Amino acid sequence: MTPPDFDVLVVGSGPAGVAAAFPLVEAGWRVAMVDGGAQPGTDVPDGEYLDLRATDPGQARWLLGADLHALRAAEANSPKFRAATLAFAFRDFAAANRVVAQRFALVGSMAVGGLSNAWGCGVTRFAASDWGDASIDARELDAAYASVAARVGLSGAADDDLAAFFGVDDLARGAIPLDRLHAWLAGCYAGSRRAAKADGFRMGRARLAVLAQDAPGGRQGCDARGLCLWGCPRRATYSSRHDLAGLRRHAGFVHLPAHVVERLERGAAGWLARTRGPDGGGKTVAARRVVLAAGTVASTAIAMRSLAGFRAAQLLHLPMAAFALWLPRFTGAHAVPGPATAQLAFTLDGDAPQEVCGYTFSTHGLPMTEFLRHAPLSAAGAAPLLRALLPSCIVANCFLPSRLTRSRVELRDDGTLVVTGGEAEDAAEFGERVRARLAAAFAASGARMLPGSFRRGAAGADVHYAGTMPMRASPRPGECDADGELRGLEGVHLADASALPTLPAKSHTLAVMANAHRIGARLARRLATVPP
Amino acid sequence: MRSVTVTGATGYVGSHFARAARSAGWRVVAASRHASAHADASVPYDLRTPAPVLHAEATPIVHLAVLTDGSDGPELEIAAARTLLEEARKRGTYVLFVSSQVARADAPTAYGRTKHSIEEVVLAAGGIVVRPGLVYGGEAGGLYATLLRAARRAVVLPAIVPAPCVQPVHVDDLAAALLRVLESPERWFGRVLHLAEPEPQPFSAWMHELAAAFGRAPRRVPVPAALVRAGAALAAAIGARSLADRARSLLAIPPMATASDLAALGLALRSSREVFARRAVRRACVREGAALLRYVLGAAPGPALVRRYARAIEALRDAQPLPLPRWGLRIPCLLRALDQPRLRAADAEWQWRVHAAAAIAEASPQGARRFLALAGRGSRARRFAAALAALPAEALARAASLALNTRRSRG
Ligand SMILES: Cc1cc2nc3c(=O)[nH]c(=O)nc-3n(C[C@H](O)[C@H](O)[C@H](O)COP(=O)(O)OP(=O)(O)OC[C@H]3O[C@@H](n4cnc5c(N)ncnc54)[C@H](O)[C@@H]3O)c2cc1C
Repeated sequence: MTPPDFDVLVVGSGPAGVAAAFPLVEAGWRVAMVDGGAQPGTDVPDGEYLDLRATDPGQARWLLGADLHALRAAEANSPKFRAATLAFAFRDFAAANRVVAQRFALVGSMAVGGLSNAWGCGVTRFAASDWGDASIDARELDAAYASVAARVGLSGAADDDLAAFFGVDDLARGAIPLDRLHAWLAGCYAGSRRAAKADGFRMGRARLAVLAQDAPGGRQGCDARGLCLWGCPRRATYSSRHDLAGLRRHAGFVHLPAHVVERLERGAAGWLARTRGPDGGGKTVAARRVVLAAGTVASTAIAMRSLAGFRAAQLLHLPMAAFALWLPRFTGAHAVPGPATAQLAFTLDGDAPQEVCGYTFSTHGLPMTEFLRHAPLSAAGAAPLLRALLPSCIVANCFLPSRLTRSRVELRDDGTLVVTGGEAEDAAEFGERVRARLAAAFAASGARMLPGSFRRGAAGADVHYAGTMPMRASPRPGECDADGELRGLEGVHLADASALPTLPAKSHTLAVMANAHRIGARLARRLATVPP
Repeated sequence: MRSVTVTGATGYVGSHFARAARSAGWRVVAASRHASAHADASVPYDLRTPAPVLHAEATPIVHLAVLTDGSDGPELEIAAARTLLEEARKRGTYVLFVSSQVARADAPTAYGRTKHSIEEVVLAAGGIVVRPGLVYGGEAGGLYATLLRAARRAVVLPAIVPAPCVQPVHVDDLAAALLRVLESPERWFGRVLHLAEPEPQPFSAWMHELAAAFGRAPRRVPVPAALVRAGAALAAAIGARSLADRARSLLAIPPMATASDLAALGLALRSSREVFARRAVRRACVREGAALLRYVLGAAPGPALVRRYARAIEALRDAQPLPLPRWGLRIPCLLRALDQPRLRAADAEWQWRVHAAAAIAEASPQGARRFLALAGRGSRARRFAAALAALPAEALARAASLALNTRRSRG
């Protein structure tokens, strides 16, 4: 019997895969990491956003893309999906993973670094109750948060009303300065917060996986150049793509980009993955154990194809809405450079405390066309109006509870995974209540919600997919234990959000990374106790 | 590196050929009166004083130079060809002579007869003769430039009866064909190749498609061939000899069988009908883009923006221009009446076009000035004023759109 080439195969180089791999390679195990292999094609320009817009004659290259990507993606749900520099992060996912979506705005990545090339960097530590009944060792999880945070670099710590909600201030640096609109809004909130909190509304700084200061290893701190939508050229925003260099420093680590896994097969002493490689070539990767971190949907497809009888599951996600706020006193002001990441965050109590959470952003780092298309005026009429109005506006997104979703995944006989979006009957009504309460809460802080601007996104547009194979105290087939080990596929561990038992309305990626790190660390110990 | 010498390299066919040859990896030596921008080297050459083409290399010679005014008589051109042939013989290479579809011993024009005489000399020396049909396309030159000018200016186009026929060949296809010949010349020594679309087409229909490609729709007026002949005689009498020659040779074009030569070369020619139709579509896309961009920008768009818009329609909308009303194309600010939310919502394609125009317009410094409140450009009061000033026009446009809407729903 020949021993497998690797101790662990990690499928996916997104935040989850990378987080799981670090403790494994640090313990000296031989780790192979495969991913879809897509790399950036269009460079992010070097400069400050408004300055580039005013002077860069070649701005169409990154605003539209050489292949007019922004127009091809005209109907997509978020400006991020139109950014030519990020096109690589979203390309080919459904086809490569043989996933089809019905009534669901499916987003996934075949990139090196996965969706973290494009994410918003909002981070939260999950509350103990968010882990359901899975018996997770709190000390291990805390240690995992600490190591992940040290690698990622967090900012936004502040003594404000959301410190407890985010729960990361012990791991984060101070915040990047607010722009003047947000500073004013935060000031108004400070004046009225007692009443706001009584109404279940809280506001505070956004906690972000964004470097406030330069870090060793070449990543630079945020200098508010406003290009976040296109991907930070300073690498201030965390992308797991940049962590591969750190993994490669370990002798036992092998990165196999552009090797796509379809299913897992049992091998002589563990698992085999026959990959679809570049140019039709492929490899058979043999490993004692497998960590699935291809993103919830892709990992579920791989697991279902590999585990007979596992054909259907729920898919948790967060219904999403977006709206615009107007700060009348700034009307007519000119646009000012500033960060285009989330600046402030807010929560709203519902049936449960802090059931709704959202972030606010400046409008300046977005093309005006993003707003023009929604204006109830002609383009020629709206342009001068928006030019005068937008610098006094803030845009916000908000995540509603996952209990309002009814989405599912199901494997067809031909191996295609079908994702079907659905929502609870009261979702629209709930959204309307949230709209009204947010409008009132922001009005109390001096910001008017622009009429008609509150829109609920399509199912799936939130890209917080989770819970298809949840961790349980006593898992059934298709569920996993606290080590992420999937019942029915022993030796296969889930490290991405597919293993989350619940999905609170929170940015979940940091929690997924901590969990992945914890699972990687536990695996590193278990591999040592069992001879190969 | 393979080299080729080209006489007449600055002419219509010559410049296209030189470019094609270079991008196919040939070193091009231009032999012409003026230096060629598309050649690697130039040597002076004049048909009237056919001193040998002086350079040491033994390259094949593609002979494209012609005397265009026809006033010097055929002897000069024939003598020049002999000199070239002699030179090629001394160096152990050959001459590829680009003749014409009208070359015949009994051609009604001196042009056709001269070409025929040169062909004889070239073939006798073991050279190669290529007879192209009506060469068109690319950067206009030669007869094509004359025809294009006529097509673009004409309000009426004569439809000659009985219809003389032409067999077009795109200038880039001709260049490609010449390169194929150069690649294996042994197959063609001492032979005549015929290069043109195999199907002859009525000249006036062809002219019409050419006019349409440039946005013109001249009326067709039937003209008896006899009248053209008379006109040509008249032109000759008043001294416009080359024009007269061309008109006469046009009426005397013998059909040419080209299929077997094209097959032997392994070449499929593009069809002029398709080339012209594509160009007509592109033109319509450009017009649409110019109007829509002007509408969203409130100012004339830069040419790069218009090109980008046309490219977007070709790449993403199946190259289908929208049937916009003529008043909207002429006075783009009136498009505001069509770009009202109600009308826009009823027509997803129209909405897409407006969005595309706005996105393309915005992605430029010009667009940034229009769409963004950049510091140092206009005061707060000015921006307020501009926003308010936009409202009356918007109200008017809204009213107009309601009128359009009711008219539409009635119609
Ligand atoms: C616009 C946007 C904004 C976001 N903002 C936030 C935010 O503010 N906060 C937050 O917490 N989250 C946010 N997210 C979500 C966040 O990006 C994801 O939760 C996170 O990236 C998931 O990490 P992952 O490693 O599980 O999967 P992914 O990042 O999706 O990575 C998947 C990896 O698997 C590889 N892969 C996929 N299929 C296969 C296969 N079949 N074989 C081999 N390899 C495969 C891919 O190449 C990739 O390397 C956002 C997402 C988007 C799109």
